[in-house]
Amino acid sequence: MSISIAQRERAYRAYNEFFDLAERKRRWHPFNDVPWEKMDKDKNSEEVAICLETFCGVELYVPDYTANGFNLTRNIFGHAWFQANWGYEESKHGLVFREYLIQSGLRTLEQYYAFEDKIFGQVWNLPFHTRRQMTCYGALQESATYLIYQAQKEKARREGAELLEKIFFFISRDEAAHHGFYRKVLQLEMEDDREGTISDLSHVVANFQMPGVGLIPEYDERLKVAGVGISSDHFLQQGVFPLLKVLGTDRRELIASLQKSRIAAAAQRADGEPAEETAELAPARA
Amino acid sequence: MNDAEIKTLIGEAVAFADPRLVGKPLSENDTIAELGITSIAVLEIVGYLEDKLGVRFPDDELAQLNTIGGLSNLIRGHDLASQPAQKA
Repeated sequence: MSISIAQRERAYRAYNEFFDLAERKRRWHPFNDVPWEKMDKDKNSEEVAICLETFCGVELYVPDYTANGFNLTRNIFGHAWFQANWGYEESKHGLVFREYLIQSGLRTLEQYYAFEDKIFGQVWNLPFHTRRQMTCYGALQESATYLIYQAQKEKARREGAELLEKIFFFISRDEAAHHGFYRKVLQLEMEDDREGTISDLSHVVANFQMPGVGLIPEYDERLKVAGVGISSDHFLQQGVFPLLKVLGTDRRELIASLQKSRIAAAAQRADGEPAEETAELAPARA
Repeated sequence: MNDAEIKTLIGEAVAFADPRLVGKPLSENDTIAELGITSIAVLEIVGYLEDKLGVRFPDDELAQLNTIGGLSNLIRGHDLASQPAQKA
């Protein structure tokens, strides 16, 4: 998809805003700013281990996320440089989860490396194939991840687990910032092509799955542990609806767009043309 | 609306949103998840009901739609709200 100089400039400014704020207010050091001395092993459990291991596993795909992201955005400064920063920040998340698992003794090195081997034995591929659709996906996925980490932070606070509370404070704040960037870009996309952007968003919402689906070992079993995932209700109410509101649209317009795409795809099939990718309905789980 | 009318309307809405479920008998206790109805299909069901009833349900009322009974309650709630108050 070609992109005009004006669009590139607006993406650059959105990135600058993100980067400026990150440099001034959001940078944190995984060893110096995280109070590792407050590790309280008595507050750990296998449930905590499964949560952290699952989050770590998702973050360990950062090489695939960034490689794919760069391929999609490499000719647009604002988007490509965001990918670089995003990858750096997500890499810290994986590092901190790994450190916690090992330092706490929740996993031995051998167990951790066995898990890492399973993760690196699979490859994450783009769930959607245009930059705008991946921006929609990014906005939704970062929102879901923020909600999951925010819930973990609150849980840690309630249980007096200071170290975990601080870790999830830093990480959820990063995820909120990432969501903010994608949301800003989507607002710009709406200004350029409202109908097309809503069509892409409806397609992504209809096919949305978290990145760990199909990649993290025993993912469905892990989701049974409280806090690993997020319910579809919660995701709709706290993730999807607020995004629609910010973009100046609503669920009715989203659904109308999805139904229009289906009708167009059906007409194409009836004419014997290869139908464009149609929305398959994803499981009711974020 | 009586219970039978509500049940019929919900059956239509579910079949509209998810053709796999055309003709499937639905009970109030059936969960959305067990029926394999996706989040986006829930929004389509609600949109269908809104069009048929000529109303708009607030987004926050959709949070509890975990079962077919939840959909019935959504309609009943609207029905009650739209009826004029009875004098004692």
